[in-house]
Amino acid sequence: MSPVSRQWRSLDQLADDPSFVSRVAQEFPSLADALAVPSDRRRVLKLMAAAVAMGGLGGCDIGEPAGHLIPAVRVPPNIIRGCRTFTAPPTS
Amino acid sequence: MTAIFRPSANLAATLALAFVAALLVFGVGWWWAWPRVDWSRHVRWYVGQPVPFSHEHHVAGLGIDCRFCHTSVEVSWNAGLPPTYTCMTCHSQIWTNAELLAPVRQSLADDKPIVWNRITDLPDYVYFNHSIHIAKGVGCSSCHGEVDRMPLTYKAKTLTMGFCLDCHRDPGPQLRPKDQIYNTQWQRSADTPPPATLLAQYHVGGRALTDCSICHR
Repeated sequence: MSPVSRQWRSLDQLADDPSFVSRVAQEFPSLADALAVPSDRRRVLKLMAAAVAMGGLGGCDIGEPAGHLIPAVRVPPNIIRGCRTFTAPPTS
Repeated sequence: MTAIFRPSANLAATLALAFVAALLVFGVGWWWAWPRVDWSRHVRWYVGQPVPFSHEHHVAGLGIDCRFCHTSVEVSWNAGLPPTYTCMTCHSQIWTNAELLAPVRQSLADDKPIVWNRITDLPDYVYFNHSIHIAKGVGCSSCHGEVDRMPLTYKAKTLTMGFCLDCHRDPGPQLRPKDQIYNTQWQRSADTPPPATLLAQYHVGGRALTDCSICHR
């Protein structure tokens, strides 16, 4: 599948300027890898659609028991979990 | 002209149709059952714990009050889990060499907390406060079930929004006298004051308890 048209993020990238590519590789190594793979419009749209669809899954929290409860070993005095701790201001 | 399909294609087509139909039935059934089945809310699931703590033994057997360990239930949104120190107030004296309690002793020795696995959890978009429910006459067992009959703790009620709303729409019958809050075996009986009396006694009813913002803040 050939790219419909080449995707680019800046004019430097479109011109494939070697100094730009080396600068990107230095600054963002993973972005340089991504730039090396030509991404066509179809693939970009696929990834975007997948991101949107899977983003919705994050809302599927039905309150299942999961995770851990970690109580203290010793509770410091005058600390009640879930309550604010008020202290006197340091005035004399 | 030769036939495009062989006779066996009839069978394949029938099977494919049957598969699609079965998938449809299963899908609809799943979609219908998921919100209605307690299993999917993990009700009555036993969860493994670092120490197989038995509420049955400690509450029904020894008569320890809920608040001995869940100390902040009357003042905080969080009922609180006992610190290792609370366990060791007794277990530094009894069952001091029990193999089961090794994680507890280790926790105190290393100053590293015991990591318990959650039994009940509410979604993060729900605000729930233990102290107000206790103060207004809702007992522990209304949501947590008969904890003193649980050798290993499990989730006894679904704790879905429907479960909360059942009570918030009509709290009266769920309320109990002040001295019965921590009695996990309490059942409404003939001597229980009528719902209207309890509602008045606890001053429940001044607010619309089904307002969204009561629970979703």
